[in-house]
Amino acid sequence: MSLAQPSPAQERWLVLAARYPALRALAEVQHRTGGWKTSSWLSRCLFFVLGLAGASMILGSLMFVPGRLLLAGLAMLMLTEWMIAQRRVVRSGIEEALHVVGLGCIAAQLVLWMHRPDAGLVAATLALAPLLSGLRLLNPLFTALAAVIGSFAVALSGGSVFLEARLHKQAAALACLALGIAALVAGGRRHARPSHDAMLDGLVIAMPVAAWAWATWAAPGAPRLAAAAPQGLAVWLPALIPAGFILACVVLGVRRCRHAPLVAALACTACLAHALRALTGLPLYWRLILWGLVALAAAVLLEHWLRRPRGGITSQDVGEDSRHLDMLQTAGAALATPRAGGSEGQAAFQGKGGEFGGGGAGGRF
Amino acid sequence: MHTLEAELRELRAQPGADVAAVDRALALESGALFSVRRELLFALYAAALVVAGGVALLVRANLARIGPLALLAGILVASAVCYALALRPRLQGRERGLGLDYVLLLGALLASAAVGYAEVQFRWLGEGWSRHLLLLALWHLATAWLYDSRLVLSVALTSFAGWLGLEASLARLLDGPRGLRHLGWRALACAALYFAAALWHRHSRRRPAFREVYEQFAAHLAFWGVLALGFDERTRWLALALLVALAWFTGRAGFVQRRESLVLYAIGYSTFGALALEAQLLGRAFMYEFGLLTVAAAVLLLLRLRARLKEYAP
Repeated sequence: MSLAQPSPAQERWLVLAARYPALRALAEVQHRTGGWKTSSWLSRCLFFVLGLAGASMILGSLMFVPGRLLLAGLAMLMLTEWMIAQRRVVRSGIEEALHVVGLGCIAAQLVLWMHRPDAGLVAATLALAPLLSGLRLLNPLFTALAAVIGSFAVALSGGSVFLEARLHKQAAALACLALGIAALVAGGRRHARPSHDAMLDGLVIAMPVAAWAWATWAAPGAPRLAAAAPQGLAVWLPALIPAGFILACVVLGVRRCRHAPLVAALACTACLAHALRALTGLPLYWRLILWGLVALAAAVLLEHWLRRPRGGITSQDVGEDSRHLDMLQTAGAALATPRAGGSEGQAAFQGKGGEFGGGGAGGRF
Repeated sequence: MHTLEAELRELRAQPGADVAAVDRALALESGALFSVRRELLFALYAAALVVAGGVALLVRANLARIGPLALLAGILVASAVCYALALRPRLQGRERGLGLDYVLLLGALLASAAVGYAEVQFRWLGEGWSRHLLLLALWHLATAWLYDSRLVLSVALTSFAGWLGLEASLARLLDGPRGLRHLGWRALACAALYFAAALWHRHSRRRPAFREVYEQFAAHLAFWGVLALGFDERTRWLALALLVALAWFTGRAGFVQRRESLVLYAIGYSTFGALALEAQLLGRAFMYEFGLLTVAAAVLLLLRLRARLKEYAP
């Protein structure tokens, strides 16, 4: 039994209890979970926000102390370790917020103490905070965040944050692409810890999007069918990256029965649509309406077709915890509701349908 | 990849285990069964938003070129098609699937866009232009009842709150104390109405799924209303009393109904209300120290309450 974190066996029991509510009471017994306590995602979110509030209070109370970032960071880390040792909390939100902010403060203090640091070194130092926190607390979001910040380190190495022309954007895109492919390949191997799987899943989702973002930033323009001059690879790269990942992720996601590659495929679809925005020359609203209808029709037909399991794949609810999914749907519908129409003197209608969320729903695709 | 098959087999051999639930979990872990419901949910929601957003942009971009009646007719026809498609399974004696749930949501969003556009363009309601939101809310409520749709009910409740002037935006925080006070009382009134509706659904047992939607809206609106009142020094102490009472009532309801979300709302909102009050009353010297104590107390209380909630779980 480890005080630092649950053992792989204990972690699997915790994941089982979270994943299958009907089996929770049997799974969450002392000798199986080692007394470790987790949180539902809703309470984890609240605990995380409370943790951020607490971290800001610690920082604020040390405002006038020399080396305040280092002191505040150390205080937060000590508090986190005490909570983990005494309360045996894991994936609860509160310790995650304190730990990542604490390490972030220490990293920021180190950067402030550096004498004229290279921009790449600054980014690498800042990336260490979520990386170490993610590895310590087995948090996949932090490790994915570290990878994204790390891509800035690649882009900024030897360059300057103030001179865009000297950013190595294509190098950063290729680094993200390589890491995404590596994560996709490594995800096929068996891992004892579910959290290691989750970390690879986070990279599978985040890295293709980051690669696309860097390639888009590096590209001189969007590809067009009726282009006046031949368009180089740099123009097509923002489309090729997500297109390749969509294909690979759908195949591997279905074959491995894993959700992360399928989520990555959905995210890459939005990226591909943005990359090909100038291909047809249609106005933005027609593209949104047509492609939205195509996506809606495809999803409706697929859902209908998979009601009966085909090759084991189904669109039905299969008993996993879905209470909070219902709440998300309710909140999503509320947020999608158009706001009040025009008031006196307002010339144009601003229906604002779907202003919140959704690719392109706000007119910014 | 990881698998929980070994653990599930151990559970299956244990006396008192729900064998059917374990077998279903084993099928999922072994890959014999794989649900893509969540991915489809995300895709459906995103697609509905994209179409609704495209329609909004179409209207804005073509106001001068396409006749307003033609545009309005087009949107209404599209909305009607969505409603008709969603009605088909019911007419055929089948249950409506997830996909058609979101087609119905798209229909509702298009109807909202059409009515809002019509009001801006033709000013049928004159000075009472905002009443179109009330009409929309009633329409959505009626269609939510007819289709038994929680998603459309959410749209109805949001439209009604919008008619009362309860729009969630950061700009509202800059309205000043008077504006926030009015917002606060309206939010509380709206919350009371939604709570009454939830009680009715609970006692009448009709459309039982609607009850939770009403309760969620009521809880959030009530807390937001109280927090808004707290920003005005004339209603600050009244807001504090209301916050304590509301937190106690909501937390207790969460315990009785075994609903963690209500307990979380009670602790979360009351913590942030307390922090806001401390920020207003205390100087910078002690604000952070008191705030840290407040957050620590909230965390400990929440850990304790969650443990008790699990202890009493059936």
